[in-house]
This record gives sequence, structure tokens and C-alpha cells, in this order.
Amino acid sequence: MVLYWSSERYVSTQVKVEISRELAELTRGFSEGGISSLSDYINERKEQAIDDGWFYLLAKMNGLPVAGNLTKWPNEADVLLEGGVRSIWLDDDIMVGSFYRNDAYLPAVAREFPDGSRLLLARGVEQDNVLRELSENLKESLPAVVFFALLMGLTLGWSILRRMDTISMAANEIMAGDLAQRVPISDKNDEFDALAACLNNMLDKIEKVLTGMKEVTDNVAHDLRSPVTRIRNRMEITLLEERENMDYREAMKQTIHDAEMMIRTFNAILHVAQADAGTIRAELVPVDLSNLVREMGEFYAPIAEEAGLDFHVHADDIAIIQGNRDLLAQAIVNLLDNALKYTPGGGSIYLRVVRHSPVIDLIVEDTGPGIPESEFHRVRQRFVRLDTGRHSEGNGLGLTLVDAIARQHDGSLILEDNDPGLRAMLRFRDGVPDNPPFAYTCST
Amino acid sequence: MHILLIEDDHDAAAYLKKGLVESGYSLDHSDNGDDGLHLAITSNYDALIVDRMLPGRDGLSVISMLRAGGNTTPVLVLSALGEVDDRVHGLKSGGDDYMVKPYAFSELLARLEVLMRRANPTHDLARLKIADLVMDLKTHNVTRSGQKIYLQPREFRLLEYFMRHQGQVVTRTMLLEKVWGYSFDPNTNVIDVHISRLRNKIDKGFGMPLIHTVRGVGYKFCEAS
Repeated sequence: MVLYWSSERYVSTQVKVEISRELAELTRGFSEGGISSLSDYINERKEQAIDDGWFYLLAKMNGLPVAGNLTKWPNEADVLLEGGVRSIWLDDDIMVGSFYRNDAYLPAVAREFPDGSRLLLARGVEQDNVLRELSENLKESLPAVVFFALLMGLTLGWSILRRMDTISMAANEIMAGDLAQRVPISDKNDEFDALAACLNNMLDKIEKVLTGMKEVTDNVAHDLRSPVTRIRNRMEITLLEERENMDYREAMKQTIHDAEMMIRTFNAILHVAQADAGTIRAELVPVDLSNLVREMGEFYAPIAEEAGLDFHVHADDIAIIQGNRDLLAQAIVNLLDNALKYTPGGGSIYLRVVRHSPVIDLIVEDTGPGIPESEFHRVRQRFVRLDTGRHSEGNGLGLTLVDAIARQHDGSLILEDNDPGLRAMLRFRDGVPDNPPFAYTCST
Repeated sequence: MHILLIEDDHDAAAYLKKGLVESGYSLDHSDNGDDGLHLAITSNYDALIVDRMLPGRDGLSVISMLRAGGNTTPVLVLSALGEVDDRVHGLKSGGDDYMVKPYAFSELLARLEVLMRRANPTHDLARLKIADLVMDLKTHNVTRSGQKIYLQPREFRLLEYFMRHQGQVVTRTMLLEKVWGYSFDPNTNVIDVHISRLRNKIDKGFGMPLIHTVRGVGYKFCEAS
């Protein structure tokens, strides 16, 4: 319908031009030879005209036809005498010999001559035929079109279902216990692939959390066994014989000490596991690292002095990151404690904040024995302790915790040889970490 | 001193009761939030110890209901939830102090004492005094026996905290929290060194020591007995 309407408008414009031209032609004929010349011309043309789609009518003032292939002057044509090309309804009865079986709405033009005769010119739109044929064709092809549409729909739907199936299949395998499975990603780079990438990211995270949790339980079992065993043995042995009150008190004091160590270890393990899993819901606020470092420096100055160490603090630029002040303080404390512990008297400790975009470095350097480069990775792992003196306190979780806190703040712990000594660096991104928008950006 | 303990773990409650009674307190105990709230409203206590996880009404709800009713009894919150946000949440609900389990009993005792003396109007004083030590909070002048003592800002704040908590046991954790504003687990030696510096300035050479070490617990600031 729309097709018809829009074509019709097009037709009108073209036809208007044709009709006007033909009318001008005929009018010239009249001016040259009068009515008789005009009617001759029309009569000559009328047979051919029908095939070409032209309708002529030359009529007397009273309406009686003089020449042409229309049998009667239609009343509707009167309005054309005012001028212009317009479409009018022509009764099929008057269009003898034409293929029109019904009334036709055709562009037409009319003209009145000085002696009262009138000329009507109408154009049977050829395109009208084309459109008729087209609509006939459409009617025939409709079933075929519908069939193909259905086929396409089914195919598309089936391919979507298949993609979704691969995803749910992978999910099922993962749930069945195969943690390493991932959703396959095709090379089409479409929405399904984006979804698959997101899912895989999620699975990475889940695998990490689960592995972390397993590590926690392993480590808890391992590292808490010693103090528990000590406590038990101590109690058992103490009870073997009658003891002095003093002995009992001493046993109890040592047990308290062991219990406290266990608590500390326990808390640290939990904290590290939670940091790994990203479940610590600490509120992140802007923290000026330089300010924090200056405070820490002030806090540690006396004890560094007591230990006979040179303690230097440099933190001049404002260096703000999004973070949690207490956690960051804990990280610095752990690093400083290590430096204090391992640097012999006469040595130096440097605590500084250096801002060089795009990173901010928080550095603790000492001039102690340092850590061999081969061990840089291992020391971050839980419970690794390098000191040969087995008497020093500590549970080997110091650096592990620092590492976890660094990662929580979207940063990293970097260990370097200070030559001599150790340089421990917390490297953060300068500025507020950006929040990537969801979807389509699940980078693997 | 009359205390209400709202704790559903009966073993823990038994130990706490024993320790507190032996330290000179009298104790009432409730093992759920609703009864506890009722008791707190209808009786007069000097302090409340409330566990966060309770059957029925949870600890923080008890506290906020209490506060909503205008009750200003000091509350010490005990909790197994120790994350930073939990602490903030606990204090915002109306708690006055927050301790994470497992805690040291001596720590609990020290904090409880500080809580109950909170009604002490030292907040408005411009001058703090003990024995011959005088602290002017406006001018930041500190003198002992008439002699002027020069303190660094942090030492001043440390002394101020001691002065405001005269006669009470303060633990290293409390000092770290209130004077330095941190709540991490410190190498407690660091604090000891700060204390010894302060001692050098205000106790050494002045006859009576004011800063006393309480073994295994912390420090006490008072005239020597």
C-alpha cells in the first residue's frame, strides 16, 4: 500500500510533465489549423494511444464527442478546465477499448478553446500496470516469503540457543567440580563473547577465592598446630608432678603467650585470605600517604634511636590515594618492623614517599643484610621466614600481609636490593583508580 | 560498680563474671537481646557489656533502642566481627568502645574502667593537675615543681591522655588508638619507647614517679603509693 502510494506520487510528477507537454503540442496544433486539425491529429493517434495509455477527447460545448478514444465527456473533467494537472475518476464505460475493467483514477488535463470546444487529456499510468503486476507477484510469493522468514528465524534462534548451550555446559562442568574450566570464546567478538569473557573473569575470581580459602585452612592447620601442641605438652608435663605455685603460674603465663601468638597468626591469616578474596569491606577514602608516612616516622623515631639507627623520613609532596588509613599504616608498620629487626646498630633506615606520575612509591629502605634476590618471590608467601635465628618472634606473615594490603589498594609490593640491604616499595597508582563501566569491557 | 553483661555464650559469660567479680564489680547477666534490653531500661547500671551477636534482638539494636530512649549508660561492645567498617558501625549505633574477640581480659578491664569514669568532667577543664605537675591546655605550658618542661606535640598529647585517665590502667592498644589514632596491631615496643621518653621528661629528677608500668597490661598514671 505504501509502495503504491509513494510510487503514485512519483508517477504523478513525471506524468504531469508528459501531459503538459502533450497538451502544449495539441494546443499548438489547434492554433495552427483550428479544430479540424486537432481532431485529425487525435483520430490518427487514438488507436495507438490506447496502447500507449493516452486518452483523448475533443468535444463540443454541449459535451458531444468530436474525436478521441473516450466516449463521453466526464463531468469530473469540468474541474480541470480551471487549469493544472489533476487526477480524476474516469468511468471504465467511457474508456472503450482499454484494458481498464474498473473505474480509473488518472492524471488528466483539460482545455477550453475560444469556440467552446473542449479537450480532455488523460494519462493511463503505465506504472499502474507494473504495480498491479507487482502486487500479483507478491500475492504469489507471499507463502514463499513467509517460509523463508520462518526458516531464518529458526536458524537464528537455533544458533543463539547453541551459543547459550555452550555457556551453560561449561557452567555445569564447573559446578561439578572442574574449577579450571572456562567458557569458550569464539572469534566472532559478539555479545556472546563479551558475556563469555565476563563469565570467565568471574570464574577466575571464584577459583582464586576457593583456592585461597583452601590455603587458609591448610595454613591454619599447619601453623596453629605448634603452639597448640606446646600448650598441651606444657600442661601435661606440669601436671605430672606436684609443683610450686610459682611453676604453675609460669606455665600459665607461657600459655597465655602462646595463645596470644595464635590469635595474632589467626587474625593475620584471615586478613590475608580476605584481602585476596577482595571481601574486606573497608571504606576507601582519600589518604595522603605523605602525611601518613610523616606520622609513622614520628611514631618510630624514638625506637629507631634506641636501636642506634639513623632514621630518615622524606615525604614532601602531597600524595593522595584512595585507601584505608589503618590498613596502610599496618603495612608500613610491618615494613618498618622488619627493617628495625634486621638492621644492626649503626645502620640506617629510610622511609619515603616519592610521587612520580603515574605512580606513587612508598619506600622503606634499610642497610641490613637484605634478602637474596632469589627469595624475593618466596618471602611473600605465607609463613616463609628467612632469618637463621629461630628465636626471633614473628609468624612469617608480615610481608604476606603487606602484599595483600598493597593489592587491596590496587598497588603492588616490590622488593629490591638496596645494596646493601633491602628496599621494600609499595607502588600505587597516582590518583583515583577508575571504575570501568560494566559489560563489553571484561578484558581477559 | 554494677554491670550488666549481655552475652549468649555461657562459658564466656561465666569467665567474664568470675574475672569481673574478683576485680570488685557486681554483675547481672542476660543471654538474649530482648531480656537484656528490658533489664537495662528497668535497672540502673554503671556500664553495659554487650555482645553483638545475640539471639532475638542483636546487640547493636539493643544499644540503639537504649540510646533512642535517652539512656546514656556507657556501653562496651564485644564482637567477633572485627573489620574496620564493623567497628565504625558499632560505635555509630551508640557504643562507647568496641573490642574484638578474642580479647585480653586485662584489656577489657582497663577499658571498662575508663568507660565508667567518662562522666568525669575533665573535658571542660583548661588545666589538668596531679601532684606537682600542672598542664595548661590553652598555653600548652607544662610545669612540674615550678620547672617548665618542653614537650613535643605528641608527647603533650600522651601526657594529656594520662592526666585525663589518672588512676586508671591504660593499655598500649588504648594509647595507640586514642593518642595516635591507629587501630593496627603494633610492635608494642614502639609505644614503650615513647613512654620512656615521656618519663625522662616528667618523672626523672622529680622525686615521685607518676608513670607506672603495670606488668602484662599497660600503664597507670597516678601518685605512687
